[in-house]
Amino acid sequence: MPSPFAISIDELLLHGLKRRDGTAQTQVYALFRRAVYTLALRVLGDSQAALDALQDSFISAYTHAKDCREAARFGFWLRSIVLRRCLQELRTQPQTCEFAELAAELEPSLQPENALGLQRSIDLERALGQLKPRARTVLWLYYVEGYQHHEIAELFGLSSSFSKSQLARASECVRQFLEPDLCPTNT
Amino acid sequence: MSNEHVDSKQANAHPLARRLVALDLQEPPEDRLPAILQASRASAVQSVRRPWRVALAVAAGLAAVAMVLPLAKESPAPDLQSVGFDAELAALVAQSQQMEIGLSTLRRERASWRQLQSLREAQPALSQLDSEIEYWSRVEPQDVVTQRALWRERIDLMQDVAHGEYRPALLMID
Repeated sequence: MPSPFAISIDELLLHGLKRRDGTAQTQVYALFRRAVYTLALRVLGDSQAALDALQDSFISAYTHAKDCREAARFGFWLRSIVLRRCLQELRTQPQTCEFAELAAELEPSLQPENALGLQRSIDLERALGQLKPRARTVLWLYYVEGYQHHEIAELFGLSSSFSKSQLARASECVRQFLEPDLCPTNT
Repeated sequence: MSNEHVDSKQANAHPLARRLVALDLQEPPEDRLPAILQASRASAVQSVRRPWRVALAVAAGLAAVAMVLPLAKESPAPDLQSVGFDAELAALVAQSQQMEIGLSTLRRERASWRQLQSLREAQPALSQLDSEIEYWSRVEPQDVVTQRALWRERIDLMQDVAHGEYRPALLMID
């Protein structure tokens, strides 16, 4: 499954960005705004914060477009900008939701004992939103963006063990509410 | 970095991954493109500061402005050579420069705490205005209406500072 950032732009468009051409900037915004906003939303878990991250990321990309050397890799270059901006935001956010308390904080209809009968109506996005930001980020980067553990560790400035443990706990927590649909044995 | 591969092995192998990648991309609830383009332009302006005093000096009939130039080193100026002589704009520039002299004096002389506080808090807004003025004078030199408005805003801001009444917008709500 391709990353939403796996969109190629041509050299002409990148050249336009480097010249700060408004038309080129508009085209790139149209191409990537959903991917950027979605990633920011998954990491930050807040639409307003995600919008601000989107704005800052595009401004940064336009300002430093000259640093992007390959048009074909522009999407991934932009993704790294978005991630850096989001992780910077996360570092300043208070960690309000302890991972271990997740189950208690969910509504009764999302509790594991009720999940079986309600699995079709469970909102995966909502479950994601309940995860601690760092755990959600690791989950998203690993499964959706295709990052490896050592790459995630590098982003956070921590060890690969951090990435592996966060992924395991986040996956398990989400699966508690989505089983048996997501159980490997049931697929 | 190997994170640029587009086919995630994890996504193919894990049921949870399949559910996650199947989630729709989210549409931003509001369009931030105008703000992004404006900020990008402002950034471009800041990185290419023009030798504006030369342009200003050659503008005919601006002797008053020329007199205050040595003291107003950081303020921008419209490209009056491009727009031609616009008496109102020239007067606004001159008035703004005079105000700036007053503010420079404030720094040196005995200013009240409120004045100094205002001066400090106004710096970001003043810088932003200067960037916009410089942008318009460079990119849209014929648009004297906008440039007049910006210079009026700059004058108003400095008057507030001189009276020790400048407050950032958020504080004014209180």
